[in-house]
Amino acid sequence: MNFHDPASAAAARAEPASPLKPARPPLIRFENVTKTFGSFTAISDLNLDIQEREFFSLLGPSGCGKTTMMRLLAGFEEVTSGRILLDGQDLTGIPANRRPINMMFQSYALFPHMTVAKNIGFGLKQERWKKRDIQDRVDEMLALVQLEGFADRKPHQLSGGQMQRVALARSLAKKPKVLLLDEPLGALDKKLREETQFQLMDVQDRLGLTFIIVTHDQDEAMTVSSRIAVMKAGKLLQTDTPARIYEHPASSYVADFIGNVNLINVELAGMEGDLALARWDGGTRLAIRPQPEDVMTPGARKTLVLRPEKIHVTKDRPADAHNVNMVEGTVEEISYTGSASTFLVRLDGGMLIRAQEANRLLTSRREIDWNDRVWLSWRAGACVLVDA
Amino acid sequence: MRTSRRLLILLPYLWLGLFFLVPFLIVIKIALSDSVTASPPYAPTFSLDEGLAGLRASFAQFDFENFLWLAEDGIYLKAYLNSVKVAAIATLLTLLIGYPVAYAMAKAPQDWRKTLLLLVILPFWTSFLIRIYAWIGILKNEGFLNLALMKLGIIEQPLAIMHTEIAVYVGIVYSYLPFMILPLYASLERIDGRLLEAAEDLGCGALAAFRQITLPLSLPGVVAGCFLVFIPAIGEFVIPDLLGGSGTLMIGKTLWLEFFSNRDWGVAAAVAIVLLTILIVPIVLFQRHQQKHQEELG
Repeated sequence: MNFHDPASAAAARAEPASPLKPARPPLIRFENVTKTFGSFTAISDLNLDIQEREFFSLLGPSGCGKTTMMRLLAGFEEVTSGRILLDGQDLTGIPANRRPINMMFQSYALFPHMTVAKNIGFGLKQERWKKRDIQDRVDEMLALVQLEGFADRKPHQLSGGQMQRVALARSLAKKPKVLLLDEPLGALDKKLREETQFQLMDVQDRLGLTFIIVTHDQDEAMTVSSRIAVMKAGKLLQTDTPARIYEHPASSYVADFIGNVNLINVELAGMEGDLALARWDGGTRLAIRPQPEDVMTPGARKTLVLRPEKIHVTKDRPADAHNVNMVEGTVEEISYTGSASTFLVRLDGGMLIRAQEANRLLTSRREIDWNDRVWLSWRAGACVLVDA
Repeated sequence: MRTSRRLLILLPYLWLGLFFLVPFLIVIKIALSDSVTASPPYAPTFSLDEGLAGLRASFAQFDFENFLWLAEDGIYLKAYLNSVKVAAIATLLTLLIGYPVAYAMAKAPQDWRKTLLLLVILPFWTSFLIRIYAWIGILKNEGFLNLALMKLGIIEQPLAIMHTEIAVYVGIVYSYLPFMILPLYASLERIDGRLLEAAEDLGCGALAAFRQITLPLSLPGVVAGCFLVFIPAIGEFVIPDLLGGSGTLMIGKTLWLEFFSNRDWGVAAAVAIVLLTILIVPIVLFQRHQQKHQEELG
């Protein structure tokens, strides 16, 4: 398959330094959108702009409203109040079959009684395309998803990965302005899922389309997206690039939802040069490099967001430095996940800290064992503060 | 383990052999015999008194006279053809009525479906015969239907429905409707709602989505329902006998007349065998269809 080099593709997407020009009008705009089902509010007064050619992820736990947002866009549900604009045009009242938006359904929803070719050509047939033209486009789509030779198969003769590709081809055949993907890879096994993620990115890149993906899988969202919107209870908590979401979460909820994290309650003490000083419950003094937007009021209570992989675990006390934080504790648990090992370290104050080290050596050579006394250290710039 | 499994399989075969194959062989034997005025009213009868030679003599008497008679007398062919016609039209009517009912049931809110299903099979709690008699009360000249229509001033003279083919259609459609609705409902209810959303998403209107998605996907139910109505309707006896008139010529009734009125067991048995052979074709078709459908699902 003609994939991007995974590492560089992911890096390109994760790079915050590719700003989306705010001057350009957004392709999709949610304007104060509210959607209620009876007494249940699925979406509450939500505003969101999505630019052309974005690979946009809606991420959140089940019931957070992400699927409702997708169904509102597709036209299967109507907004209760507010409006959705596509290219400046109000979508209210336009039925699903008239919107230039197509959807790739969860578990694909392929028509079981039609061949692969008929499935892919279905949307074109509705638009009364000529038979020849349908055939040409179907062939083009089959080539795009590398399923040449499968045109006459029925869906039940395909593997899960092949069905996923047919579903993708079918939803792209009409060249929609926006493609919605509802948990597109949920039914695939891990290896195939990773492979398919890059295929999706490649297709999006080549066709220059806008993709909006709904997922509860944070790794998937991180890998494929140009931007991620983290949702909770019908509201957007943060909309940002994957790197910003991961490293500069707007709240402890976002920090906790994406990846593993240590959340430590601290009290700000003051500034020392360009570093902020904070105390945590045990009295330990911490140095934190504040973000430009942080407001540092001495005495304020904040939550320190510290990712496990930013913490270094050593048996010996690291050399003192003004921008390095260190604490001592006892290894309570080690979990081995192949590429890395996660240490659960009980600090002397009683707190449990999760630290992760890449397994650069073979495990048999690992120096640290259960119940060892260890030092945890991390740089002042490796953690961020959020409101408690 | 293996012997016990074989025993288990043996049981239904034993049952079929004892209660289907043996009686059927007897029917074949009677069909090949001659009609006589005696008890039993056919000859020859097997007896072991004369030993093997006697048995051979009995076999020598067998002939296809009864079958030839069926071909010679046009009334049998007419009865067969008319049965097929009545069954086919009744099946079509049942389908036309049953499909919207099954569709509405499948689209009904989830918690209503079980109740609706129960209502469809509720009539089975009353004897089939009693329900047909009830239709006599409705359809006859001074029956409920005519009385109601006349009271409402829609008609002045009672409609002659009883003892016509229309009454037979009413009876068959009424009696076999559940057999049409149940398989239709099963296939309609199984259709994934997302398929219709996908069709809509790809630019399909509601009617086009029905024609291109719902209808073809419910086809297995349509075929199953049609066979389940058509096959028993061909041989139907009670309904044409009670609701139909003397003009309603159906093979089930002809068979009954041959057997009980004419006491011609030989011809009656021949009629039964021909009827069975005619029915085997749709039954085999039906089973092949079911099998193909199963394979496609699996």
